[in-house]
Formats: sequence, C-alpha cells, structure tokens
Amino acid sequence: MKGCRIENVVLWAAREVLRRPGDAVMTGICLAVITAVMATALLLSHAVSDTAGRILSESPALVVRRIDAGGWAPIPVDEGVSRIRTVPGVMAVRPRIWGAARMEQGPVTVVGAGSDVHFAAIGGGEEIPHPGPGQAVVGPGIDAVDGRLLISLGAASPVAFAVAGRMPDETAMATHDLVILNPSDAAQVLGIAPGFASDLAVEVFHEEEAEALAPELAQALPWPVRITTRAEAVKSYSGPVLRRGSLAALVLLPGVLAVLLLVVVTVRERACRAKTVGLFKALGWQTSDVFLVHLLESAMTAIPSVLLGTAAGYGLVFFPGVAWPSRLLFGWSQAPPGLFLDPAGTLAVLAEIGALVLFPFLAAAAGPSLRASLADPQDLLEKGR
Amino acid sequence: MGNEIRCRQVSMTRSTVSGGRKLILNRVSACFPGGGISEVNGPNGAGKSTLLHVMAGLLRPTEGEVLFNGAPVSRWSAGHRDRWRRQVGIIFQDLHLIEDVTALENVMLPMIPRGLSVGELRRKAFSAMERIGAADLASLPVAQMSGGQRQRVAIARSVVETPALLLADEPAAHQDCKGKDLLRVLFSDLKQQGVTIVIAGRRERALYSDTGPDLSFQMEQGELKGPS
Repeated sequence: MKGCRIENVVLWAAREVLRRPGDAVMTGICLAVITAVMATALLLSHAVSDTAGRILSESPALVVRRIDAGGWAPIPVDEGVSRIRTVPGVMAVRPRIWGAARMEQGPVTVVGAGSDVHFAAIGGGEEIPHPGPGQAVVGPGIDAVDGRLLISLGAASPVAFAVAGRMPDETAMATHDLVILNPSDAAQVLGIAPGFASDLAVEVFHEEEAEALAPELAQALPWPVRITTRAEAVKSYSGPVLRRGSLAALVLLPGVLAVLLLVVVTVRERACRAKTVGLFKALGWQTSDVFLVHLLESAMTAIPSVLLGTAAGYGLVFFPGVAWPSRLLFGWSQAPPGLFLDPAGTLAVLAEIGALVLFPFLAAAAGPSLRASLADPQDLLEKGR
Repeated sequence: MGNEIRCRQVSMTRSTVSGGRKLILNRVSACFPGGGISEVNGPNGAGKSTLLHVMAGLLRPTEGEVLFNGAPVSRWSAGHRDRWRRQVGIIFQDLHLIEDVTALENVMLPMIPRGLSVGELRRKAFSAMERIGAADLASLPVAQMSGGQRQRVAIARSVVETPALLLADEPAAHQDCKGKDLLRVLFSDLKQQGVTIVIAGRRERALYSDTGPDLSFQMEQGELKGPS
C-alpha cells in the first residue's frame, strides 16, 4: 500500500510538471546553463590542481642546480654525484639532461633519457620504447613532418631526429611539448658538454628530512647551487594555480546570483500555489504528501537539468580540443593538455554543485509548500481567490 | 449510532479588510446525528459555509469545540486533523476544482496519497462519477465544463471514498431536475450506509425524500436555531 502511495505521488508530481510545461522547460534551461558555467569553472580548477599534484608527486625529493653569474650552469656529473653521496641520508643521485630548444612550430622541452629511466610511471603504464641515437619520443603536442623532427638551440643548425614513439594523450599535462632523446643527443642539442648535466635529482631515505638535508648538500658542493625540495616545487606550482582558480571562482559569483534570482522567482511562484496546497489538505492530504509532491515536481525538473549542465561542463573541460573555457578562465592560449580528476575531486565538484545549485532550488521549491501546509486549509483556499 | 458530529459553543471571528474582527459564528451548539441528513438554512452571509468549514476541520474555531463521535477533533494537532479529514467528504460552494486537469483526475485527487493502485484509483473515481451521472465527463478538462457539470465533478470527488461525514454547501445550486434527482438518490444511498450528511443552503425539497431532512436548522447572523 505504501509503495502505491509513493508511486501515486510521483505520478501526480509528473502531472504537475506537465500542467506547466513552459515553466518546466524554462526553469530547466536556466538551471542547466547556470550549472554548466559553474561546473566548467569548478572542474577546470580542480582538474588542473589534481593533475599537477599527481605529476609533482613523481618528482625527485631534491633537485640540485648549479648557478653562476649568468644564471644556470651545467654541473659536472662525476664530482657532483660523488660529493652528494657523502652526505648522510642521501639514497640515490641521478644526473638529468634537459632544457628548452626550438622547433619550427615553437619552443619545446628536450629531455635526455637513458634506459635507466622508466617511462611507465608517466606513460600511464604503457610501454614506450627508449629512443636510440638519432631517435626521439615525443609528447602529444609535437607534430612531426614525415616522422622526422628538426630541433635546434639558439642559432645552431637544426639536428634531425626520427620519431620512434609518442607519449599517450593522458600524459599530456606532463609531456605535451616534450621531446625525449638519447642522453648524448640531448646533450648535443642543448649544448651541454660530455660529463656535465643540467641538474642532479636526489632521492633521500626520509622525505621529511629533505629540507634539512638541503644546506648540507650545498655545503658539500664546491659551487654555488640552488636546491629545490619537492614541497617547494609543489608550492611554486600550486601558487599560480590557486590564483587562477580564485579568478575562475569569480565566474561562480554571477552563477550564484543567477541561482538566487531563480530561488526568489521559485519561492514567489510556489507561494502563489497556496490555494492548491489548501485544496490538497482539505481533501485529506497530509503535510508530508504535499511536501513530497512539490519536492518531486521540482526534482523532476532540477535533477536532469543539473546533470545535463554538469555533463556539459565536463565535456568543455575534458573533451580534447575545446579551448575557449580555459582561455576564458585561465588565459591559456590553446586547448589545455589532457587533465585528470581523481574520484575525490569529482565528488567535491558534485557536492559543490549540489550545494550551490540543486539544494537551494529544491529548498526554494518545496519550502513554501511546507510552510503553507501548516496553515488552516480554508485560509489557503481563500488566499487563492 | 456512530458518526455523530456535535458543535459545542462554537464561535468564530475573522479579520475584516478594515483591520477589525467580525463575528461569523456565535456560540453555535448543535448535534448532527450519525446516519442522518440535516440541513442548515439561512440567508447569504449567515455563516453556513463557515460552520461547515469548522466542522470539516478546515478552520479552527476561535472558541468552543467540534466533537466527532465524542472526540474533540477541532482541538487536535494539524497532523491528526489531516488524517481525520480523510473521513470527511466536502462539496465546496466554490467547488475548488483544478481547472486544467480532467474531471477524472479531479475526482481521483483525494485518493492519491491513500496507497491504492492507479487502476483502483481510476475504477473508484469512474464509479463515483457514474453515481452522479457524470461518467461521460471523465476525460474532459474541467475548464471546458458548464457550472452544473463542474458541480457534479465536485460531488463525485466528495464521495469517491465513502465518507463518514458529508458536508455539502449548496450542492444543488447549479443542478437541473435530473441532477437534483441523482443527488437525492445519492444522499439516500449514503444515509443507508450510515453517512452523516449536513447540507447548507436554501431549502431544496427535491433533495430529500417525502419525509424531508431528519433535522432542519436555521442560521441567522452567526446564530444557529433549531432543530425543527
């Protein structure tokens, strides 16, 4: 019997929606558009932050770079590694060769990677071949002409490489403009002499000791160096992301105002239905029945609209090649590289949308009926005259 | 016999447009016996409709109480009165139909939250419309109906679940002879089933069998006199 009661109330709620199809469609469109705008801003902000966090968690505990009067200077590998290994607490030291170079289509990041580097970590588990001499593995943003690349540094003559592999699209946040070369090829392109590296990546036994080890490392080396911990790298990256995220949040302001406007209109519209509430009560409906029918009626319009708006926002952020939301919100000049959103981030966005759009709308729609239900039915019937 | 409704010293005041208070019911005391037909006559504005609304639990009296089978229903909390109202069928003077849905849906309305299947709802609603000769109106939107047809829909709605108490405000106001005959038969059937019926309005002989109503009250300026 109780099941039939709910079923009947659901059917009557659907009938109420059909009684005012124009209202339902307009309200639905408004909610969907507002949700899409808010979801785009929230998803983009969360996804950039999540993706950056994921990538930086794979970075070394400490990075040591040599500096001189002109800026960065190559670091002698053998001397640097041997001196750093003497510092207690250091687990491993790895020289890295990387830097900016130029292709015809624009600047690229060149990285030298030998067989000791595992691509699987950044390649999403996918097996990617290591580049041999004269070969390159490129990121998703690099276009090769006939499978060949021409890379140069400054005014130097370009060097040609054959594309031996391509990083998967889902790694684009880290590998978008990346060209991975054999270490000796990378050193040649970047003008780094044999026996030198761009920097040294240091792993330590205890992550929490990294900051304390930095001064000892600086003391162990005979040149001036700048040492960056993983925490500092995360902080320096997340600072601008948070600032941009805050700017993106400004988009929420008109969205919230639009929701408020919709709430006010809905409250007024529902208050005008006092006569119907009075009639339901006069005919033996209980307050819970009246509340439920109004709640369901609103939910039938709001939930599909909010889902549609969220799906649209998701598409705008994660669909490859859609550039305008990130340009509008973050000022990026091209489509963002592939972004990730972890389940916690997705839940957070859904909860935020629920709190900002769905809950206020449902409360505005069902609240007045609950309040009206507490009055004497005849008073409500007379109010509607 | 059950289904007796009694008013004890019931007074009702309402706010006026000028901000004052107007006495609508003045210490009304009456007993409407269970399974009987009672009529309350009187001129317009005498307070007949307000009395029915107070008896139906749609308004709380300012003073006094309404007792149904000895229980003080007018003093109950809103939730309890909501549940009790399921035993009451009411025909409003203003009808209070939902204009843009069909007659059948209007008649089904009181039963929606009562846990019957949709098929059973439709069957009962259709049966109630047949009783009052309105079965052919079932699929018509109320907005397209005449005053008499609308009133039949409102009557069918009040008896779709056989009530313990039927309160009818001017139930024959828009009815032709055939409609009044159907009403008389309906009231007679309900009386046989033990339903207490209170009819407010001008005296309408066609609504009763030859013996007339069981009790007749006269209402003037909020005061109830009788029975006779």
